[in-house]
This record gives sequence, C-alpha cells and structure tokens, in this order.
Amino acid sequence: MTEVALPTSVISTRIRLARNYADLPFPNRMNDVQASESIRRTMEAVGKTSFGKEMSLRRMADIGDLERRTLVERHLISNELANNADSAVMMNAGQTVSVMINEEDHLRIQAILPGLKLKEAMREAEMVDNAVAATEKIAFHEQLGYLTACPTNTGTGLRASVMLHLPAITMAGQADAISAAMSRLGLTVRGFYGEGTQALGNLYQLSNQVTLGKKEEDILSFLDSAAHEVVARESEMRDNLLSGDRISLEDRLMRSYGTLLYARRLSTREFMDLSSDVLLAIDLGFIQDLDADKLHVLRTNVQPAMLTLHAGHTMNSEERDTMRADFVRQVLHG
Amino acid sequence: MMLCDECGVNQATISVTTIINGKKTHRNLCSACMKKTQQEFSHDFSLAGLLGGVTDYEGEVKRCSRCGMDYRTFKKTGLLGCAQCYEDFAPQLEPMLKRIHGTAKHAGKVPTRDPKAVEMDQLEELKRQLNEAIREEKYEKAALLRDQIRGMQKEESK
Repeated sequence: MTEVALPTSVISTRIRLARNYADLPFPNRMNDVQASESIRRTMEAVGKTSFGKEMSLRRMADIGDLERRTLVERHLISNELANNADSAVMMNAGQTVSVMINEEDHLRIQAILPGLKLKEAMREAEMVDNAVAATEKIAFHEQLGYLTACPTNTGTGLRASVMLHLPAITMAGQADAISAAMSRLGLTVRGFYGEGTQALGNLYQLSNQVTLGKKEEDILSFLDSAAHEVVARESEMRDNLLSGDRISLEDRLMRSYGTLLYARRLSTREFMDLSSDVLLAIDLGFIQDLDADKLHVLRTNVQPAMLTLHAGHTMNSEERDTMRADFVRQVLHG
Repeated sequence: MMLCDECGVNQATISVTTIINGKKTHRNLCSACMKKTQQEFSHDFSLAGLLGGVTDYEGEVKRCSRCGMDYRTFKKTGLLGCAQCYEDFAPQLEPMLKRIHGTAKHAGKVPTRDPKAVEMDQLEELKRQLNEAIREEKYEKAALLRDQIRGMQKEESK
C-alpha cells in the first residue's frame, strides 16, 4: 500500500466535478418540481451501478440542522447545500465519495482520499460522472465543455485540491508569498478551516483556478507538481527550524503535546493549533509513539456539530470545550 | 460682428455644426450659450447612454430565451440560469471566459454516453477492491468479489 514515502505534509486530496442536466434550469432558477426531478434522476442513474447501490441518499428536507452541520464539518456537503431544503446528498459508506445534488450546479461529484492521490480520487469521481452521463444528457457545449452555473467552473468543471499542513512555512511568515506565487501559476491557496488567509491549524488548501482549456490530466499533474514544490519548500523550512534553536522548538512542540494529553478544556481553535504542533513533532521525530492518523480522525470528530452529535444534547461552549478535551485525552491515551 | 444665434445679444465666437438624425445644422454661438448647449448635450448624452443600456445595448437587457435570466441579474449574482444562457449570452460570455481562464476552448473530457464504459468502470473498481482485500488478507471478502467479477465478465462475453 505504501508507495514511495508520501510527503506527510499532504493530508488529503479532493476532486470535485460540476455537472448539470442539459434540459433543466440550473439550481438557482429551478422550481421545487424540477429540483425533485434532478434528485430522482441522479438517484436512478447512480443507483444502477454496483457502487451506487452502496450509496445512501439524504435529503436536506429530511434531516435536522445538526446532521447537516456534521456533514459540512466532514466536508461531505457545503454550507450552501445544507441551507437548501430542495437539495440532497448521496454518499458511499466509506464517505470518500459524495454527490451533492442541487448545490450551485445539479451535481457536485466529490471524492476525498487521504494523502496525495489526485489520479485515484479523479477515478472515483469519474465513475459517478460516467454513470450519470450513460443515462442522462449532460449540459455540454462542443467549444466550451461542461456548462456550469458559474463561468469560473466552465469547461472541465474540475476543481482539484490538496490539503497541506504547512507549519514551518507559516512560522517563517512565507504563507502569503507562497500564496502569491501559486496565484501567478493559476492556483489558489486558502485556509482549509476558517475564513480568509488565517489558516486554522496551519492547514491550507491548494487548488486549480482555471477549469477551461486544459485537459483534466494536465490540471491534475500540474497541481501535483505544485504540491510537491510547496512540500519541498516546507521541508526546507523545517530543516531551517531544526538547524536553529532545536531545544526551544522541541520544548514548544512537546508542551503542546502535553496540553493535548492533559488539558480539561479545549476550544476548537486551541485544538487545531496544538494538533498542528503535535503533527509537526511527529514529522520531525520528536514524538515516535503516536500515529498521525489519530490526529486526523480527531480533527473531524472534535468539531462543534460532531461533538454535539456524540453528546446527544445541545451544549454551551464551555461544556463543549470540556467534552472536546475528554475526547482528545481518550483517543491519545487509548 | 456676428450675433449669437441662440441669445441674439452677445457676439458669436464659436461656430457649431450639429448633426441630429442626419439633419445638419450650422449655428454661431456666444461662449455663454455654447456652455449651456454643452451641458444640455452632455445631459442628453448620459441619458442616451442609460436608455441605450435598455434599448440598444444588447447585453444589458437580453434575456435567455429558455429560462428568462437577464444578463444584468447574471452580472450581479455571477450565476447563469441554464445551458441555453451560454448560447444567448455568447457574445458577452466569450470575452469573460477568456478573462477568467485565458481561453474559451475546451480541451478536456467529453460526456461518455456509453453504458459499456460504466461496466468497465465497475469491473475495474471491483478488481481494485479485490486486490485490496487480498492485500489485507480479507479472503472471504475477496472470494465474494472474485465471484462478482467472474459474473460480470461472463455477462460481457455473452
């Protein structure tokens, strides 16, 4: 399974394909009958396939606000979808593939895989894409490609992104410079959690901006090499950190680990910052008996809505912070 | 000395030729009346510009023949209403797409209407799952997958 040591700074890969049915107005101009029709078609087309049979459908109208928010936290659906009662999502059991129905476009096919796996994630998304195209007429223009509600997605409808953990680049104050350099290459860098350039937990999302005029494989390989480039830069910055005051660095990162292990209250933000330190400590070899995957799983599970779901009742923020700390201790000591 | 054609009081200093609806008029004006005319003209002009937006300027009022989306709403929301909008707003969209993507010529995938392709996809996916099951030593699952693959291959060769 393990190929050549994957750069640990790449947390996950996401592929998103935007597609529309040729004969229905786009979701922003649909009535509720057309919206149901779009859901029905998708269910039928995808449901015919072997992988589709294992996918479940959730209509936003049928699920509560809490479940919607947990889906948003797990990046299976967007905020926009969660707020639209005429929309739905299809997900596979492993939650690696999801199809948002009636978001900005009729279909937003999404595949998320851990590590840097652009081609593999693309394959997963394309299976759904092909299944729909085999039975339904998709909005496609010979010259312009796939037609999407927003012209920024026209062409391939492909948005590929990788989630990167870049603590050393951030510490060196180079995040903005990297972001500017990537933007000149037609790529976008954004904080993965939270808004704007303030990246929570030093997690960034690198994605393609241009969707028209390039082949899918070229978009993917370009993003892949850009990700390698950024990761190489991160490694360089990490080497710099190590050649500096190593004990101070180790002391700071291990204190963060100590806090995660023993704190009785943790806010989301604090958890994100501390877990970034611990991830870095694992990568640098300061911590050897902790699997980074535990932190990745924790990150999803300690977001506010997920905690509330676990608790089974609403909590104020202090209660939530207490529960978050309990949860983190349980996983890390366990 | 020539008097102003407009006020008939001051001395005309400027000679103005206007063409309105193809009809040419020549007038001699004093500087005060010239200024007034210019102001009126610029008022008319901006009004014409505005009206032009509604009457002549195709893009500003044009509605999509299928979904009724008008171009102005699109410019506000950034969202088109249906596939037909791409045809009906083509003259406006093409330069916009070029600005965003550097080109307006698709080079990627074309929708595959071939059900065979989907079968191949599934077969490939099952084979991938089979390899994974073997690697993880989940032999019961592997046997099930193997049978499924055989079944599909038999279907195919029929």
